[in-house]
Amino acid sequence: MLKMNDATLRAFLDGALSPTQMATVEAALAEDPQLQARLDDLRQEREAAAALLAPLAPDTHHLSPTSAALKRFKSTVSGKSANPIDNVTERMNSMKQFVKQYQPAIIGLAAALVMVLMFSFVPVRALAGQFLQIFRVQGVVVVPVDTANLEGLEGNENLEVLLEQIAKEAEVLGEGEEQTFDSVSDAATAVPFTVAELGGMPVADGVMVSSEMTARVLVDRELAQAVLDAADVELQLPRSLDDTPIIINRPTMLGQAWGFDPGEMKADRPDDGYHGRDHASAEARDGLLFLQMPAPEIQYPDDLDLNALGVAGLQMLGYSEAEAIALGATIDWANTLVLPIPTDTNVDVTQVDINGATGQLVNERDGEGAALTWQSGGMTYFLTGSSEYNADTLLELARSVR
Amino acid sequence: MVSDASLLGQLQTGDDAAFDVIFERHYERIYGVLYRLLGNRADAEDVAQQVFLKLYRSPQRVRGGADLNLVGWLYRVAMNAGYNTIRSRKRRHHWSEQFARQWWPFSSASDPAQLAAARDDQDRVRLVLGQMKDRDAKLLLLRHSGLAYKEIAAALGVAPSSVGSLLTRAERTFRKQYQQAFPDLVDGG
Repeated sequence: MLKMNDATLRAFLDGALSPTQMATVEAALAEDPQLQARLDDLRQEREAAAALLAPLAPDTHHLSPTSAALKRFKSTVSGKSANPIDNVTERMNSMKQFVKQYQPAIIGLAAALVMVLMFSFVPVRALAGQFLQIFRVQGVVVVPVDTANLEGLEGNENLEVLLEQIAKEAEVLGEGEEQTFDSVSDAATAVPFTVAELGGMPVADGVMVSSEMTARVLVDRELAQAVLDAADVELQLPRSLDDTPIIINRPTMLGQAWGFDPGEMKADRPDDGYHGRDHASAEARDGLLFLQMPAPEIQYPDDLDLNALGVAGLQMLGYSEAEAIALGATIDWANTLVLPIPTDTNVDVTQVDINGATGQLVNERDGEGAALTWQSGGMTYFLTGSSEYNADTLLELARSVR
Repeated sequence: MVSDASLLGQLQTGDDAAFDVIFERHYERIYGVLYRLLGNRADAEDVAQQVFLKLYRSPQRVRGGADLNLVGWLYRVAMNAGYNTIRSRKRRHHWSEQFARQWWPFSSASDPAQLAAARDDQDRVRLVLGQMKDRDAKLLLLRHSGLAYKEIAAALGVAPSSVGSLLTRAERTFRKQYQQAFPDLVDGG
């Protein structure tokens, strides 16, 4: 027996009933004006919702032709791009993914194991984010990576499945909520550290504070071990991981931005002429971001051998065992952010001096963008920009921090 | 027309030609759903490629012999991958996305500043969808991308007979929240 309720009427409107049911509803509507009125109401509701949702549909400029998509797919599967330019673009995108993830908040431990793997698998990058908060950064080491090795990892379905489940429990205390402020001085009241400012810069166009976030992650040791085994890495994870959570603390972070969203954020701001530049007319691509935060921390089981874990991570990135051991011996894994940079992409990484502190400068050779990170006085700083804010400018600004 | 179930069976035995047919049959709508979810062509194309790559590499993951098993699997994987992409975006603090875009699509916050930053219709719709339960938001995206009730039911793991009521409820919630967030932009009804 078909009930004449909203569910049935809505299915009728959407043509989702069987022919017999459609006929039954039509007959009921013909005999019941109230039912007809209800149907009209539902139709109006549906049309109102459809009107609101309509802007989401791709317009003609954003359609994706199936034939081109299938061609791209086949190129991917066959391991070569149909168009050399596509190939370069894909590699650049891959590199940008790395650089995008490269942030002070990225600081992690368990991660020589987890981080490098996570980066390699598209479906688990979200999960990787949980581990990116882990390291206690007091230094940064750049590790050149041949992306061919990452592609090999990405094709490993078994590893992919395992990684999806590697954090068997994850609890986040404090969501790292973001708050915007009108000025740095306002934001300074919301952070537990003395705010550093860049010399010579005008008032920021946007100021954001991301509150402290603490996460408690219990790793499924057996699965993590399976990941290592599947990758042919000889490392035994300690049993303490079974009941000892990894506790990750990412302190409150402050961000200042210049050159963004000129239409809405900058229209009323006077141009104070930094380098004679008219901020109000800047495009969104021409911008600068300065982040600062105390060094993130992580607690982990005492018997977790970070060095062995780090060496395992290097091996997963394609280093031979001997190379990994040699490189691993130069890294203090307890407090160092390991930044994998693909070797075959258009990026240079150089070690620079920032008023006595060692920083790492990542520079895209085409001048599209640059990023700089350094640690000083227990704080981690990150500066990135594009277009006018090139590597030289970033260095100049970093050295002007007061 | 060869059924999806038959094509899947052929694919599971290594028939690449069957995969091409599946791709040609479903890509456009998968992309359409992902575009609605992600808001830009590059991301939607990338995630759609991931979905089909997963099918190509492991067709045995799709279990069952009915036509709807394949459709349900494709959209389920697409929605999950799309949401993962959004979560991944939210974790990035790269300036170009953090500030130029102001707020990620599907941000869960309801800060007034965030609402003010939703500059166009797409931003506003995604903002409201982001405040809804995942299942309700997915339901709206799938239905308003043109999926049939049976396809939606297969993708979301609900009974086909419940789709009508779930959809009506989700649309009401959506309209109500949209109206609350942007009262000046919606007529009283």
